[in-house]
Formats: sequence, C-alpha cells, structure tokens
Amino acid sequence: MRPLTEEESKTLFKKLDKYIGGNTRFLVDRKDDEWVFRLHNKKVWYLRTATEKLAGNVAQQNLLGAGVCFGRFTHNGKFKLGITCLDFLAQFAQNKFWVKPNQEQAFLFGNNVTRAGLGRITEGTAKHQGVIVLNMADVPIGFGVTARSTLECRKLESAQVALFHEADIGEYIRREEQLI
Amino acid sequence: MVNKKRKSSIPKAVVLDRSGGAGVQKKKIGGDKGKGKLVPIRAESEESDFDDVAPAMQFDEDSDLGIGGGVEEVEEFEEFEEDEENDGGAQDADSFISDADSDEDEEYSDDSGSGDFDTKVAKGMERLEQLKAEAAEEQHAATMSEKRHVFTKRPEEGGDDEEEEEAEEDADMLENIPLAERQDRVQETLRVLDNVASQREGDHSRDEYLSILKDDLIAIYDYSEWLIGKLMDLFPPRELFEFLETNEKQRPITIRVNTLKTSRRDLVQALTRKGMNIDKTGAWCNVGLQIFESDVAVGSTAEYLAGHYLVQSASSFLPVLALDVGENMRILDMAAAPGGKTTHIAQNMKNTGFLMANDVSAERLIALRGNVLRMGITNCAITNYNGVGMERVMVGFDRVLLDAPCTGLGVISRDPRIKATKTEHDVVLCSQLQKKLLLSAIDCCKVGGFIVYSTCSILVEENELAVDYALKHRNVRIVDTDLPFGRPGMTKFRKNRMHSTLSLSRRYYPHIFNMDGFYVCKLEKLANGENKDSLWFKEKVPKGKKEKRKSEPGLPAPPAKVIKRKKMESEPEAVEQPKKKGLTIKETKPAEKRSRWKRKSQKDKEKKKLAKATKSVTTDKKPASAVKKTSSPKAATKKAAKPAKKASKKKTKK
Repeated sequence: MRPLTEEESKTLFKKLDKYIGGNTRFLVDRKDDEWVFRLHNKKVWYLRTATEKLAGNVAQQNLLGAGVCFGRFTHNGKFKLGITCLDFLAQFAQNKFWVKPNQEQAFLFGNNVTRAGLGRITEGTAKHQGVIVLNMADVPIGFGVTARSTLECRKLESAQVALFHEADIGEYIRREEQLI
Repeated sequence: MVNKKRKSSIPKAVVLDRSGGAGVQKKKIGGDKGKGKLVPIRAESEESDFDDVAPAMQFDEDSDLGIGGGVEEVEEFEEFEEDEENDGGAQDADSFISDADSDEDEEYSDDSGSGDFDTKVAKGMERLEQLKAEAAEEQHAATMSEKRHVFTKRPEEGGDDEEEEEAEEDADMLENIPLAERQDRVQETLRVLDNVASQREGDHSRDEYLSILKDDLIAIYDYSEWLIGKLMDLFPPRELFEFLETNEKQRPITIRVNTLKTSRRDLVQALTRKGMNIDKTGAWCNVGLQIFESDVAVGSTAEYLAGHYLVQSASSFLPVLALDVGENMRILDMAAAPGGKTTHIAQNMKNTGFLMANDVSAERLIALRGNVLRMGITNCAITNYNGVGMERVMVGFDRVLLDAPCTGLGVISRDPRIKATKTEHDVVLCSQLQKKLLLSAIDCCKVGGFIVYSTCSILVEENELAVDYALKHRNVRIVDTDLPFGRPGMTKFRKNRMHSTLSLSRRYYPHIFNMDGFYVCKLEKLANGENKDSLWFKEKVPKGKKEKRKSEPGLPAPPAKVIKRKKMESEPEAVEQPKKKGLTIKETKPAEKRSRWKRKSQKDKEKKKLAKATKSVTTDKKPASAVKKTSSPKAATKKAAKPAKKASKKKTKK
C-alpha cells in the first residue's frame, strides 16, 4: 500500500468533486480519526492509518485490500469510481436523483433512467452533473450522470433518458468478480 | 391361558404404529396401546396383563435417548419449527399419556368394583372366551401381516430356517423392495431395538437387527454404507432415524441484520412491505430474522444489495456470539470466506479496531470481498494466506475465529451430495488440516485472548478430537462458550478418552434445535509456545499423590510431571526440555542418573539381604530408602551407615 502521487490525488479528487462538490474535505480531514487514501494494485482504498499500519504486515501479493475501495485507476491514468464507496459519498452528496419504483429494478440491472422513472431531483442540478441515485425509500442505490439539467428535465418526454447510469448496487451480484 | 398366549412367538403387539416414528413418546405408548388399526380392544387387554409383568418397558425409551430434554428444547424454540411433526408429537404424547391413564382406570375400576364372587367368576369366564376369540383372530392377523415382521416372510417357524431366511433377506436387498415396505420394516426394527430381549423374534441378535436397519436406511435415504456406519456410532437407533428424517427437509431461511446500516425493527418493516412473511428469531440472538414466506427473492432485494442484511444460517451466529467481540480489538478470522461470520464480527466491533479476514482460496475471496464491501465494513483487511503458518504473518490478536473446513456432515440438508461422496479419507484429511489450523490459530492469539473453533460437522474426529489435540500441544484451556443452548461436547467416544473440559464445548443437531449441525468450542490461551506445564497434563496427576509429596518435610517441591517411580533426588527441572513427539508423562533422565539409580536399586537389594540376615528392627521399605540424598561410592560404608540413617529418618518422619 502506498500513498497516492500528486497526479493521482488530483485525478481522484476531481472525480469526487463531481459528486460531492466541496465536501471532499470531510473525507480527508476527519475529526474523529485520521483516514487516508492509499493505492494498492491500482485500486484506491480509504482507511484509517491504524488499519493501514496493521495491514502492512501482509505481503503485497496476499493482500486483497483494506478499508473501503473507492475505485480504480485505468491504464491511461483515469479514475473510475466504484459502487463500493456509495455510503461515503451518499452522506456528503449535494445533488440527488430519486428513481420511481417502476424503473428501480431497471436501474439496478444497469440501464439508464428515463423521464418516466424520474421521481425527484435536487433543484439546480446542472447538465452532466454527477448525482447520487436513491430509491423512493431514501436508500442510495447508485451513481449516475444527469442527461439534462433540472429545468430541462421537466420538459422531457417520458421515453427520453434523464439519467445516465454509472454504477449501481446490483453490481454486487451481477459483476461480483469485477467489483472494484 | 394367559401365560400360554404370552409365550406364543407372535410379538406382543402385531399392530404397528403408523405414525412413521414422528414423535418418540407417541410411538412408545401408541405401540403398546394399539392406536393402530387392526384390533384395538385386544391390545388394551394385553396391555393390562403386561402391566404386571413388565411395567418398566414403557419408560425405557426415555432413558435411552434422553428425549425428555430434547422435547423441552423443541418447545422452547417453537419459532424455528415449521415441522409440525415435532410439535405434534409432543402434543400428542401428552394426549396419549392422558388417554392411557383414563383407559387403565376404566379397566381396573371394573375389576375392583364388584364385590360378589359369582359375578367375578362370570366376568372371568367372559374374559377367557374373549381372549380365546382374540387369540384366534391374532393367528389370522399374523398370517395377514407377514410383511410387518422384520425377519420372517412366512408364518413364524421358531427360527429354524433362520439362515435361509436371512439369505433370502440378503437376496431381497439386492432386489427392489418397495420403499413403503422398507419404511415399515425400519419402524418395526426400531420398535424391537427399544427392547431386544423381549421384543425380538426367535434368537435374532441385536446386531442382526442393526444390520437390517442399516441396509434399510441406506436404501431409503441414499447414504453410503460408510456414512451410515459413522452415524450409527454417533446416535442411538431412534435418534438416528430422527436425524436422517430431518436431513431430508430444509432448515428455515434466516437472515442477519446489519446493525451498521439499519436496525432490526426498520428492516422488518421494510421487508414486510415488500411482501415477506418475516419474524424475529428467539431471544438468544438480537440480530436474527426468520423468513417464512417471500414474494420476492430474498437475495436480491434492494435492502440486500444496500447491505442491510445477509442470508446466513442460524447456527452460524453461534461462534461469533461465543467469541465475545468488543470494540477496539484485533481479531482474526482464519477461514473467512464467504464472509457471514466476518461481517457479523465487524458489526459487533462497530467498525473499530482491526479485523483481518483471511482465506486460502482466491475464488472464495471474491465473495468475501463482495460481502465485506457491501456491508459497509471499514476496519477490515482481506488477505489470501494459508491458515497454517498464519503466525508468521501476524500475531497478538485479541480474538481468533476458526471456522474450520470440514466434511460438512451437519449440513446434509443443504447439500445432499455429501451423503454419497464423503469417505473415510475425507475425514482423515479434514481432521489433519483442522488440527494444524487450530495450532496456528492458537499461535496467532495473544496470551489471555480467546480462540473459537467451530465446524459444521458432527463427527467426533473433526470436533472434540481436534480440540483435544490442541490441548495436548499448546498452552490453552477450554472455557465456557456462554451460549444459551446446545448439547455438551463428548468426553468419551468409542475408544477415545478426551479431556473432561470438552463437555464445555457445544454440539448442535438439526433434529433437536432445527438448525444446521454445528460444533463450537472456546479456548483461552494461557501461554505461548508448546505445552510443558499445560493444564491438560496437570489434570492427569492424581490429586492424592501430589499432596503426599508436598507434605514431606525437608524436601524441595516436587516437579509437575508424574513419574512412575518416585525420584531419588528432587532436583529442579530444566526450563527447556528436549522436544518429544507425542506425550511423555515419564520424565526423561540423562544417562548418568539412570545408572546411579540402578546402582541404588542394587544397593537396596543388598540392604534387604543384610536386614534379613541381621534381623534389624527397622521394617525397611524401598521408598524410605530411596528418598535418601547422599550416595556414597563404597557399599561397605553405606551398609554401616544405613541403620543409623534409617533411625534418624524415622525420627524425622515421626
């Protein structure tokens, strides 16, 4: 496990900003404990320093990971966010998208959400804005990117895409091996 | 008349209980009382006759099986039971008992009521005629009910053609005997086995009945012969039947609430809204829920995907409960995949401290990783090591959980292939691995920490014997699991004699607790390294002997280990003793001492001769002389000095 380089940190926080805006400082500077981002096998892990120390006893080949996995760096250095950090992002999310029950299952299978499935949306959401997706019971079910801004969404026809799917909790079953 | 009838070779109650052996108590009284269909009146009168002769027979079954305790437990956890049989059996047993009492009262009241001699005689004659008629009917019935006999297919011939019949039976085994017939025969055999001496046909031995039972069970339930043999060693016949029956059915689906993300109450509400018939498990576990019916698939609801709960069998809660997890601890789960127990530990730790989840199989680690990440666990490191040798990676854990890989004979209801595929070799391999893993687990633990060893098997080789091995080779002791229920572990099993504290470990059976077969044992680590002064050895020393030595004045404290012959010189033991494979209760002495010792015994012999010759006062015994400290080289001086020394010794003793 090694700390992230400058570039890697930049890429990571740029991506996180998309979803939680300026609240990234809450992830980095926590008052209760010191949490850090670490890189292991191209994946970004978020964990306490105490945990990191003890995980240092484990050889690199034998360690699968420690703490929470946020995502992975691709071959070209881009950062792909994973579903496993949903809890952390959901609590700091600024823009949210609620999906109606009729399209909830569809979203959990990896499909985009159309206007017909749009339950609620945060006011002032921009176009192509990263959002946290929740179901009507306020349970976070994934990430997405809005297709249109809030105002434009109202004018959409029911079959048109309102939200692009990025990650959903159905992946725990569908893509268990590729879970980041 | 009555005696003649009793001596007939037709068994006492030809009428069989058709209940299929569901409730044991039901069976016992039903068999005698004749709740079967053929001729109830006759059976009742027979019963009253037999009361005088063998009243004890009715209560045999309870003592054999200890089912009384089992029934209690069954009633406690009614929530688990979807099996109506068990409940029905218990209830019916009560009703049976009351019926029996009322019937007996009626009969006896008839006899004792009338005071007139004539009326008595008249009644007696009536009775005789009745019995004659019944005897005739019985003969008729016997010929009709041929297939209910275990051994004979023709009318009884007193066991002359025993061999022929058995040969026929063997031939029949190979042929297809219909399932119903086999089941009937099983019931009849069980009934006979309850009291072979009185119930058997002719001279057939208990072993013969058992072998027939074995063949039938193999045919009905599709077990391998080896496995049925193993189970017959573990259970008495009736309990074995219960066990096999229970394995044919599924245990109820249970889930565990993830308290890191939600509460049990909220989850129950959410799931009932989705259309699940859900209820809490017993008071013993406050994070468990039981699902009776469900409209949606339990493993793919939004709540499941969000990590609010995990599908886990009820018996898997037990080792984590025994582990006594607290916050800010360092805990190791040595065989963690797929992660049910790991996540349970983590939620009990409330994401504090450090949890190391290890598994040897990279494939199963994928499932473990998925579960850990989904349940929102942040203090966990997932590792891929072989559990054997884990102490080279990291030590000093507060708690270690070892849910060892096993043959899985407790979870046959989940995986019926186990019935046919498991062999003796599998057991040998598993038990070897379990012992190694357990030793590693103990080494990883810190002094004063706890290790919980659990398996989903019911075999003694994998459970008690593995723990016994650990007791011999490491400084650990067994402590109480503090689990609210469970059968105590075995301390004696066939030829094995294990440490007495193994009764603190707990065994779980599907047919008693309605959860998967399981075993849990909690160990406390006393010291690092291999055992030298381990509690196990100390327990072996008979208490009387030890006290005697301590009371001898002028000698240093005796060593902990027992030696068959008492020591000459109680020298302090060396701290580091040479390692020896297996147990060595006898102390290993260097060569020099041994030779000295021999010389002393020779001296003793000479001494004796002297004593006889000189007719000394002292009645010399070997021990007294052996305790002497000094060893003079010359025999002559010794001989001279001995009487004086003896005298002085005697004075000190007195």
